[in-house]
Amino acid sequence: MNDLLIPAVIVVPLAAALLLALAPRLKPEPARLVTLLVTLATFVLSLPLLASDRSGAIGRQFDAPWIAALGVRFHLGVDGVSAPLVVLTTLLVPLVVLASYGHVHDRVRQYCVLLLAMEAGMVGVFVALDLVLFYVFFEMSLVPLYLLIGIFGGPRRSYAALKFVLFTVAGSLPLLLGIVWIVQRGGSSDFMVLRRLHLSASEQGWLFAAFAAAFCVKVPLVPLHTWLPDAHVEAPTGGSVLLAGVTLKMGTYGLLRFCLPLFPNAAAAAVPLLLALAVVGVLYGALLAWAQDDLKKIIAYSSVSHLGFVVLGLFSMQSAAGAGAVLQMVNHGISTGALFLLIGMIYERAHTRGLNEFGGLARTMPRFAFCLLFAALSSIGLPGLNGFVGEFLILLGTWRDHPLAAGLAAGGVLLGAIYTLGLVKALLFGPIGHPRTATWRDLNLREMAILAPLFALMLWIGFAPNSLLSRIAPAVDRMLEAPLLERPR
Amino acid sequence: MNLLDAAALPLALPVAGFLAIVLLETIAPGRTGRLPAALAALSIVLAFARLVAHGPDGEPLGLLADDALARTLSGIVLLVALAVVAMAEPLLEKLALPRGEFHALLLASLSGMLLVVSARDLLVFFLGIELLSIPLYVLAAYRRLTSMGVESGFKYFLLGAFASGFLVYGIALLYGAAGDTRYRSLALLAARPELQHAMWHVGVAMLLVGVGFKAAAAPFHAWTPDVYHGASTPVTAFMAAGVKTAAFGGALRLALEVLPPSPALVTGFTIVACLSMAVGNLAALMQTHLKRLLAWSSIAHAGYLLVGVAAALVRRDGPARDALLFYLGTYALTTVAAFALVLQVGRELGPSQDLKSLRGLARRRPFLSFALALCFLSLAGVPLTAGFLGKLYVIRAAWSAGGTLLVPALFLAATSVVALGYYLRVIATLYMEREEDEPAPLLQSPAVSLVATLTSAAILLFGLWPAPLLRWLAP
Repeated sequence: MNDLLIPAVIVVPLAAALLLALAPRLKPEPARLVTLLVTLATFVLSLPLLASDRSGAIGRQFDAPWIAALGVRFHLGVDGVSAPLVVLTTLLVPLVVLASYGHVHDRVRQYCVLLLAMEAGMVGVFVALDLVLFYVFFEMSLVPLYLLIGIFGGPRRSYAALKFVLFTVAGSLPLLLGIVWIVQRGGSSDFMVLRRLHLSASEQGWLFAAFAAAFCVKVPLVPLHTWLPDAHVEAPTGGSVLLAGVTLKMGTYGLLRFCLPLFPNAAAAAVPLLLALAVVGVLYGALLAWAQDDLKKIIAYSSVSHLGFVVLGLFSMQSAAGAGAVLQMVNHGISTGALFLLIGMIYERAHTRGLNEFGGLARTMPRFAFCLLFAALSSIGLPGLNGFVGEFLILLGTWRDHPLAAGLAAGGVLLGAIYTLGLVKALLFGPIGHPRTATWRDLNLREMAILAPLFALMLWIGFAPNSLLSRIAPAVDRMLEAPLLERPR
Repeated sequence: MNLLDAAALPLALPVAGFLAIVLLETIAPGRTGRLPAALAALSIVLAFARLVAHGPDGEPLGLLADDALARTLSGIVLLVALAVVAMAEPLLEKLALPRGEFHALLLASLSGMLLVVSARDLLVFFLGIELLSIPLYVLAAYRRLTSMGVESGFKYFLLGAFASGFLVYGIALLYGAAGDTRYRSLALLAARPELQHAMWHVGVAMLLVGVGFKAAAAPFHAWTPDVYHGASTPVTAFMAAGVKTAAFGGALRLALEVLPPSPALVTGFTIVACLSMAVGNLAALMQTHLKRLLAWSSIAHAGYLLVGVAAALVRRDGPARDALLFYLGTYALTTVAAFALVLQVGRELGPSQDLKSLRGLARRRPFLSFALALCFLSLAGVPLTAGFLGKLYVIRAAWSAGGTLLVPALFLAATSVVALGYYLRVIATLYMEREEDEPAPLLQSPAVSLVATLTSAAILLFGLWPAPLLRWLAP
C-alpha cells in the first residue's frame, strides 16, 4: 500500500530545485513564477494528506529500498501529527515566494532554489519513518537556510548564519550517534520496528539524551536558544518565516515522534527537567521579548516563549496537553509567520526595524494596522482565534499533574499580551514616529493576498479546532501510550 | 611467477604503458605531443577493464593477492590516475612543461600503488611503497623552476626517505622475529603472543610509523601542507586521493591479515586517529590558502580513515572492511573533484591560490561554484552527498566494534562540527562575498571540466542513490 502522494510532496520541490539550479540562464522573473507555481502545486498535492486516519495510526505510508547495505529504507508515513505540519510547510513556502517580490531583486533564481530545497527537507523531516532518512532530511534543510541567511541576510549575516549552523550541527551529531546506537541495537533503522524494541533503562537514558540534545537546540529550549535571535534578525523575511514557522517545529516534532515513543522511561524521568526548562523558556523568553526594541528580535524571543509552551504541553504527558501542543505548533507557524511577513512588509517601506522609530501607522496605513492587530491577537491567544485553543489545552492538561508549572506558564500568557500589545501600540498608535511615514503606501493587493490565507486559518482553527484536533489527538495518544518498563526493584 | 597471470595483469599494463612512453620519448624527445597522455590513458583504461572482467579469485597464498579487496582498491587508484592524466595534460601544455616524462612517472607511481594494495609479502609491500614514492618526489618538484616546486619536492623527498627508513627497518626486525616476510607467516606469529620477541613489537611499530608517513596521519603529517601547496594541482590530487588510498589499502590488508587485534595496537590506532582529527581540523580552521586547507583537511580525513582501520582490526569481518572501502572510494571521488575544480579556479597560471580568489565566484561561474560547494559539503559529510554515507558507515563500524573505539567515534562526530566551520567558510566565500575588482583568468579546458563535472555529479548521485557505488566498492 505504497502511497505515492507522500514522496511526491518531497520530490516535486526537490526536482524543481535541481532543475532551477542547472538553469543559470533563466531570467529572474520566470524563475520566480515557476517557483510560485511549483510550490502552489506542492501545496495542492499535500492537501489530501490532511484527511489522515482518525484512529491515530500512521495510515498513509510509502516504503521503498534505499541503501540496502546499511538497511536504510525510504520509508515515509503520515498521521494526524505530521499532516498539519506538512500542510503548514507547503502553505508557508508559496507565501514566502509571493513575499519575495517585495524585497528580493538580486539573485532571485538562487533564492528560489534554496526555498525549494528547504521545502523538500522540511517536509521530509515530518514524514520520515526511517531514522537515518529522518537525519538526512533534518540536516538537508540546514544548508539552504544557512545560505538563505548568509546570502540574502542583513549586515551581520555571515556570523549569524555560521552560528546557526554550528549550534544546530553540534546538536545533531549526538543525534547521529544515537541513531547509530539504536540501529545497532535494534537491527533496523525503521521507526515502526524500533518502536517495539525493549531498551533497558540506562540505554534509554543515553539515547534520550542524544536525541533530545538535537531537538532542544532546534526548538530552542532556553540555555540553547542564543542562536535564534541572531539568525532571525539577520535572515531575510522568507528565512525568518520558515525558520520560525517550520524549522523550530522540527525540534518539538522530533521530541514527540521519537523521544516519547522510543524511550518512554527516560522521557518520564526527564519530565521535571524538561518542564522546568520549558517554564523558564516561557517566562525568560517573554521577558527578553519585552525588553527588545528591534521588531524581529521581539518576535524571535516570543518564539522562544511560545515554543516553551509547546514543550510544556508535550512533557506534561497528558493527552489534552499533547494535542494542544501539536495544535500550538501549527498555530505558532501561522501567527508568527504572519507577524514576520508583516514586519518584512513594513521594513521594505521604512528600512528600519526599531520599535521606537514608528508610531501612528493606524492613521496612514489602516490595512496594515488591521492585519498587524489581527496577527498579534492570534499570537497572544484571544478566544475565537487559533492561539487560544492551543494554549488553553496545554494549560488545562498540564494543570492536572503539574499545577505549579501550569501556573507559572500562565504568567507567560500575560507577559505575551504585554509585549505583543506593546509592539502593536508602538507601531500603530500615538503620534507619527517616522518623518517619512506619510510616504509609505498601505498594503497592496499582493500583500493582502499573502496574509489572507493565514488569517482565514486563524479564524478556522479558532472556531472549529475540532477538525484538526480530532485527528491530532488520537495520534498523540498513540505516542504517549508507549509501554513503560517495570521499575527495577 | 607468470607475468601474465591474473593478479599481475592490471599491474603489467601500466608498466607497459610506462615503458612505451619512455621509449617514445627516447625516439622523438619533446615532439610526441598528446601521444604520451593517450598511451597513459589507454593503459589505465585497459587495466581497469581487466579488473572489471576478472576471473575467480586467485590462490590466496601468493605474493600478490587477487581478491575483491585488491580489485576494489586497484580500481579506485586506476580511476584516480585516469583523472589525473586528464587534469595534467592541459596544464602541462599551458605551462610548457615536458609532458611525456610526467605521464611516464605517473604510471610508474601508479604501478607502485597497485603493488601496495595487493601485496601479501612485506618485501613486495616495501617495493610498492618505493615505486610509488620515488616518481612522486620528481612529480612534486615538476615545476622545478619555481622555488615552491623545488621546496615541495625536496621536502617530500627528505621526509619520504626518512619514512622509508622506518619502514625497511621495521620489515627487517619483523623478518628477524618471524623468519619470513610473507603475511601468512607473520599472521601465525601474530596469533601467538607468548612467542613474540621484543623485536616483533618494535618492528610492527616502525612499520606502522612508515605507513603513517605515507598516509599523512598526525604526528607524521608535517610535510603535508607544504608539499600539497607546492606541487602542481594534478600532482596534489594524485597524492591526496591516490597515495592515501594505497597507504590505507595496504594498512587495511595488514590489519585484516597480519596485525593482532591486541589492545595496545587498537589504542595506538585510536590515539593516532584522534590526534589526526584534532590537528587536521584545528589547523584547517586557520588556513587561507585553498590547497593548504585541503591538505589539513586530508590529515583530518586520515584520522577518520584510521577509525575505520581500527574497526577492521578489531572485527575482521565484512562491515568494517566495507566501511573503510566505501569511505576511501567517496573520499577519492570527492578529492579528485575538489582538486579538478581548484585547478580551474585556483589561478595555477597566476601567483595566488588564496581563498580570496574565490570571492563571489558564484555570480560569474554558477556551475563551478555549485560543484565546489558540493565537494566541500561532501568532505564535511553533509547528507545527500556521498561523504555523509561514508562517515555514517565508518561511525557505524566503529560503534559496532565497541569498546575503545567508541572514543574515536565520538571524536569523529565532535571534530566534524569543527570541520564544518572551515568547509562552510569556503562556501561563504563563494556565495556571500563580493567579487574582486579584477578577476584573474580561469583555466579553461574541456578535459578538466569533464573530470570536474563527472566527479561532482557522482558525488550528488551517490549521495542520493548510493546502491551502485556500494555494490561496486563492497561486493
